Amino acid sequence: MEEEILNEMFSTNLNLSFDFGGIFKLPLILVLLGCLFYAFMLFLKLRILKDTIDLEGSTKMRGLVFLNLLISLIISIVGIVIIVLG
Amino acid sequence: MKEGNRTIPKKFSNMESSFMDRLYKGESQSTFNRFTIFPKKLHFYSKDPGEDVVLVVRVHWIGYVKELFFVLLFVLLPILLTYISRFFDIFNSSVIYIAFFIVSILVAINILITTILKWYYSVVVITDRRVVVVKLNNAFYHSYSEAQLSKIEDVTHSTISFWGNLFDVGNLDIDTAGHEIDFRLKTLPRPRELQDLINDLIDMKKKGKI
Repeated sequence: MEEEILNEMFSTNLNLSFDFGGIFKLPLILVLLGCLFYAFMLFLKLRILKDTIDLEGSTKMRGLVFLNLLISLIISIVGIVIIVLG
Repeated sequence: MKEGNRTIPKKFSNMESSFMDRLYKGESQSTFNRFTIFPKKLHFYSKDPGEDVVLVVRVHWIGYVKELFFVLLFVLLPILLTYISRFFDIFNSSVIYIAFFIVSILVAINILITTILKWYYSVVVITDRRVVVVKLNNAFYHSYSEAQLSKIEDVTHSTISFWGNLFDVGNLDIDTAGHEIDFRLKTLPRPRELQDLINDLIDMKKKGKI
């Protein structure tokens, strides 16, 4: 009985496993939101550039930036859902 | 006067200067590096009525290699991470690998779009009255500067490095009178032709031909 108690006391049962994945979740969400913000800023920048210089084919560029904003929005939402629920 | 699908302004149609031939030669180069001469539709903020745009030139694609390298890096990064995870499972969760992949792709797309916009909007516009330089650095910064032809004192071109010799790109320095900004235009295609054009325009301006 005594031996059993001593064994219990001195047995080292440390669990050293650490979840690295959890640490990366918040920075990844922040980067996704940062990209979305940047895409929105690009969209606004083009609105100003339209007044500054109007080049041939600038409509295509505005379409490209709008598409980028849309893709960034969709990817960010999907990414955040995957990270949070995963 | 009409030539091909462009309209050459009257004041330039009877020019005997060498720069017209050089312009046509420059325009016939590859799509991404060519000069756009007498563009039909171009408007900039301080353009005066009756002012004719002679040339629009963009930075050579070699000036954007660094950005394209970053795009490639961000595309390859998650693939590399997935490969490493076969031997060392760092994150203990497949979700983080998927998240890394999504973030990398989004960052790569944004860098690529910014590079395309930088190429498109960073232009040097040469008119019969001034030189306009528009620079787009990123979503937070762009600049617009101009120098009147009458105030330009000296134009210098320099071709530097191995890449400069290989792709015929170089820098163009424009010195202006007074305390105004001096331009240093980097990585331009065929800088000596641009120098010749600006010098010819200054000369014509002084003689009152334009």
